[in-house]
Amino acid sequence: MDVTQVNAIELALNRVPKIDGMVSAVLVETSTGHVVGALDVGSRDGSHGGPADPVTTVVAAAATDLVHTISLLVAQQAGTGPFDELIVAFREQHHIVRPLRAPGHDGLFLLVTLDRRRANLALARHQMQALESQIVA
Amino acid sequence: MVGTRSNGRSSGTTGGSATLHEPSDTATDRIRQLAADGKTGVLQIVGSPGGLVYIADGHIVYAESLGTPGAEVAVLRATRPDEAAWAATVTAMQTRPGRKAAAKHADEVVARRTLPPVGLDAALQSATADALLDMLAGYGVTVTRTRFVNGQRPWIALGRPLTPDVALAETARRLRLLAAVGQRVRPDDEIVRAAATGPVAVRLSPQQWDLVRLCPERRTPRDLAWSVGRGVLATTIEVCELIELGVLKTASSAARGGRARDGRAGGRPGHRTVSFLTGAVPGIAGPEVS
Repeated sequence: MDVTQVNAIELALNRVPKIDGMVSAVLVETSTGHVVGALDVGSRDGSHGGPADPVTTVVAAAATDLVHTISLLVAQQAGTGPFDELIVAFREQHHIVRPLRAPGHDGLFLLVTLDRRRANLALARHQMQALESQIVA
Repeated sequence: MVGTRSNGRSSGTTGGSATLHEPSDTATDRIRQLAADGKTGVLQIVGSPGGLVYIADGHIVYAESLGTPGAEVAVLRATRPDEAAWAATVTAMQTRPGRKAAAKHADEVVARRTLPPVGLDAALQSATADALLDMLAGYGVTVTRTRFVNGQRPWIALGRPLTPDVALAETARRLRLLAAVGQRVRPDDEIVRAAATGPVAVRLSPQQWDLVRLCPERRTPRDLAWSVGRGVLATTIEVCELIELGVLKTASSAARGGRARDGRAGGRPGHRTVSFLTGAVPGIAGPEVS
């Protein structure tokens, strides 16, 4: 029997449209914080910044903590609806967390890190929607 | 569902009393050696629950434990089967022959390309990591011996194979999460819906509703994971959050006078989540693992 090899996340992240100032894009399993795919823009050959990179793992874990905390808050706040995205602003970087809502992807979230000096936050948020569409296509 | 599961691990209100074990050296040393030798084949892990680790050219390409739903469960669940038929399928899949038949069926579904590829890739990675944790470490896990068979390949494989270091680092991270969530609920603890004690309104996600609607009777997070086609650790964490929201409770908390393992009152909404950052960083103190 031929073995079916599945490599869709890496392919999807490598063809994402470029967002100005994007440092990295990481796809994370929401329930466990498991990094299932990562793209470091400075390393498209995957030599660093991949799913197993320690820094990527820690940033994804911190983002997962935020997602779970906000989800608990949302669950107890009738009328707010599910959250669309979280933005964490540091002096040097923005982190944008966006849960995927498309069928078959609803247990994942996308974490994009932007260099604050090169990024336009409003434009980046708009571009992230295109990025999400590309990933779930 | 009180009794003994087909994976040989006890379930029930006392099911969580087993010690939490670090990854077995018997298995991890063998995996590292096979990887160093660049082997291709399957490592059979004999023990409780036991399972298979597929290796290709020295990299881990897939793993399956008898105690966790494999990628075939996620694939078949995504085809939205009839609920009654699905319950029978789930029971059958918890045996070796049933699992093999399900894998064949799932392979046909994957070949038709009806599933979103990114979702399938994520499910495959998750199932592999879930299985490695379940057979190498955790509550009541034992590894008695291993046996390697050259040349065998899985029905589906990771496109980005894992080195043993990467796979075992993820297993260790998941073990720390299991230890943390185990303060509230463990994979083989029985859970039930909590009776409403007042006008508490909560907004649940579709994934959370999937779990709640399956709990009119006593279930365990492991049972639920098979039913919804998601990982055992993932489902245990989700159940923990539903307990925090006061929607579910452990059957054993009632026996402890309504208090959870960590001494907190059970069945009342809370605001505490598992710390994933603690799980990701080994140096941060967490619950003890023997």
